[in-house]
Amino acid sequence: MSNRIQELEIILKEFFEIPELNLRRSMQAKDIDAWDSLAHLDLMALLEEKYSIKFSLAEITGLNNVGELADLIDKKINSR
Amino acid sequence: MFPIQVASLEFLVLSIICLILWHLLFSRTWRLYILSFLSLPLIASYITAFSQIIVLAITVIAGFFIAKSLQKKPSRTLLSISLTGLGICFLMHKDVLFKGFLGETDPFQPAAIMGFSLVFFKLIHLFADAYGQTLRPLKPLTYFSWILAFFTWLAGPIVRYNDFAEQAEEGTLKPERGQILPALNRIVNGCFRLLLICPFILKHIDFTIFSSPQNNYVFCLNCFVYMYGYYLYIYMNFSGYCDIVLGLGMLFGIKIPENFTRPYLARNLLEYWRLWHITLSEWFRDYVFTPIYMSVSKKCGRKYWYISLIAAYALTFAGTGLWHGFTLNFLLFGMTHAVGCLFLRFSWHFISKKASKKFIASYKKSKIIACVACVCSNSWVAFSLLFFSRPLAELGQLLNMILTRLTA
Repeated sequence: MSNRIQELEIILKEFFEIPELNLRRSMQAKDIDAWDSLAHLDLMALLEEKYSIKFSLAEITGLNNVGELADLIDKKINSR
Repeated sequence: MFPIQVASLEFLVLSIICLILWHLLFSRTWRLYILSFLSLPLIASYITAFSQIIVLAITVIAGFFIAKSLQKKPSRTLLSISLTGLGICFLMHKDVLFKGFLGETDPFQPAAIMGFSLVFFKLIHLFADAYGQTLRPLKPLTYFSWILAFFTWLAGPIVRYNDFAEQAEEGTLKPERGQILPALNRIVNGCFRLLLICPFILKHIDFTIFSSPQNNYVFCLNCFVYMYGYYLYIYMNFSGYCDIVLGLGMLFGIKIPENFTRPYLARNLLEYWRLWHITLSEWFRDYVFTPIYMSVSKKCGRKYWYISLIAAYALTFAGTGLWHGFTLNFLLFGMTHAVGCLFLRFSWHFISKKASKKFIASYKKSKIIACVACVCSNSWVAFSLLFFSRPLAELGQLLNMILTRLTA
């Protein structure tokens, strides 16, 4: 498991209040009950704040799984 | 020239001519030319004033160059100016600038008047995606055939540019193997709904029945028949239209997104909007709700999450309502849904904080709760659609009659 996925696991455990969460790259929003469209927006706002990055509209709505989210965060941090 | 309706002989002739030429011509370019040019008579049939031609032509042509420019250099200033310009054109088109805000409603026109509004929706999506650098390289012929395509002109579904361009530029543009019969079946099903079921329902939901003398039980029954009958009429009308359009798309070898997935089975209003007029709800989610929610939540902070929620739902549903026409009826329709969705969000927030995980799991699994919730959400939708059906004064008279009987 990459560092970014490990970091995301800690964030998501706290955000969704699921201490037993075992995050994988292939995991999707539908795999976590509380991850609905609104929770997704809150999560993206939290990640923007935490990493001091900014997601575009297309990035917010176009993500398919946790792996893509981790890669996107890496890309944003590296291009700063 | 009269407006060409989807279930009409004129639309059938236009579709057949276009289909024959489409499949006779092997060149992808010529096929797109044919689609663009043959869409013009249908669009022209909806033009009632010369000024509309000017507004439409300027909007469509300028839209291409603005999107192209945003794609080349994502300028926030250009995006803001373009969206403001689009907003002004939209208000001109809806006659708001000339006739004033929130005029009279025009009932029983659900699936025939949206063409111009959809152009504005398509352009907002085009500008936003061009600015976000997620748009495929814009080509003039693909653009014009996408924005003018006659089969989605009348009332959608809203096809995203990337989805259309991928098929137009790389797809086979032929019906998939074994898809001709299902396509025809879908068109016949749509015609059946529009030409037989809808007139039958309309015949049985007569508003004037309320003015005749009747006892309380019959009056109550008539209220239910009118409310649910009108909901059924809207559903049959719009889903019938979509069946024809999707079937036609299959014959052209162009996949048009589904717009309805059994919305009457929705367990709540939020789910309902994921199943009813899907392309419009997704458009509003992506280009109205998300930016409003994100920007307000950044300004207010997560502690005041409810402010961003109220702002996002109120503005999104105000837009959803007013898109149908700038009348108080449509605004009230939108606000009814905003109130319903906010009630759901807040009550679910409260339940998930207070109730145990076991209770929530059993609540979600319970079939009895699912049935009750389904009836409640459909009733709320049917109630909201009353604002589509008659002018407010008449609905007020009906409410007065109900109150008089209740207090008598």
